[in-house]
Amino acid sequence: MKELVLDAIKELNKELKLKELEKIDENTNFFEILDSMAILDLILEIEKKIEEKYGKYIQIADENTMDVLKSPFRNFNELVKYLEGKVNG
Amino acid sequence: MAKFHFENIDIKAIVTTIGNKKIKIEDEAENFGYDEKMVNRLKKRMGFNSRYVVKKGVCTSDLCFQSAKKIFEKFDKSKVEALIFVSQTPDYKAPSTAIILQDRLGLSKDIIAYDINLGCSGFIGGLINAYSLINSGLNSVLLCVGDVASNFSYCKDKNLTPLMGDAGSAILIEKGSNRADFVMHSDGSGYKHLIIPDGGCRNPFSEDSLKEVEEDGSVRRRVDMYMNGAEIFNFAVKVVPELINEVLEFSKTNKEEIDYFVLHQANKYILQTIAKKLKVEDKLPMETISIYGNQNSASIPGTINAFLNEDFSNKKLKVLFAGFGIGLSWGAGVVDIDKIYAPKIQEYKE
Repeated sequence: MKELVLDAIKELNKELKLKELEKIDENTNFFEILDSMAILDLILEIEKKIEEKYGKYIQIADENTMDVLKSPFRNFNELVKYLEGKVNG
Repeated sequence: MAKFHFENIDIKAIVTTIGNKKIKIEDEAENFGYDEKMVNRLKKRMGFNSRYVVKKGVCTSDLCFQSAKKIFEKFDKSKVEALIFVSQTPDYKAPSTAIILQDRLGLSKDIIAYDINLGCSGFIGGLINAYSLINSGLNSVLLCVGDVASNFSYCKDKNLTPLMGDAGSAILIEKGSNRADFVMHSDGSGYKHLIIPDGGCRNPFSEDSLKEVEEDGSVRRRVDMYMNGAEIFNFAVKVVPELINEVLEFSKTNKEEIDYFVLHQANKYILQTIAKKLKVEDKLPMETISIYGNQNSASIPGTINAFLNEDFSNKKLKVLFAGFGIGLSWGAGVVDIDKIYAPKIQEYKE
């Protein structure tokens, strides 16, 4: 899942060209780098990659997605765990 | 959840009038500080290509008036026994715009006329009211819905203004032979997420109401609509799929039986996410928001008149409507449609 997220970030950054996105670590808070629309872009990329890899659409966004205190996008590791939970059901 | 089941009631006509001033996202880029890259992202992800607004001074009631006049070219207005006006942009704080429209449209003085203050869920709320009146014994109800959002979205608010369009629809509901089921929810704990803070009794208009305030990278005043986009996004992705499943269950309908899912046109991402989650991408009409903007309570009828007018005019359909937004308020309906009067969307004529 970690690689899938990194791939999605790489794909997104082809368009955004942000230096900060080239130096992602385990504690990266995406809200400090991306605006809300770029978060949506990242969600779409991740959803696309999950669909390609697992053959099913999984909705990543929920009532906490844009909440800076609760969103999994506030920490890279949290995001990976969150996505693993979504994929595994 | 409030649930409503109706039988022997028909929607007879739906007409929508939009503002006659087209604004392309590129025209506003400089005003909002968008570079080319941002314009392209807004187009691609959110579906913001253009929007139609009115010139200053044109009210929602003027758009609804033009829509209703078109309906009365085909239907007998003397039969109308109620007029409901659903909007956040009335002509005056008082009296009700619906009563003013009764006179402008030359309707009988023996009708009930009242306003309802709802936004993006207003089409559903309005239909529930109209169907309830028919269920109580009336024969014909004129429902007017819409907003002149350019009246409450500030020209410097880049979070809200580029997505808003102006529109007013008129819908004629009469005794008939079709069924409809509706569900509705309200949650006032989220009232601050979409709000015009000043100008009511809670915060009366003052000098401060017109002061510009910079917040979230946008500039607005306290007399303008404020939207917490993140909270509204979270709200929409959570409640709308649940709402659609609820109304399908209540109406004992399978999603495969639905010909069209006509949803409030919030933004392209939300619509696509919902459609994908419910696996109904092929039954979702083209996004009205991409061409006309978010038309608030008129976005569902606006979508019908813009993209589905031929099918609504010529076919028997089972349609799912869902509206969600300010309040917070959200509702949905499964409605049988049988060859109604639904002409192509029209621009406002001065």
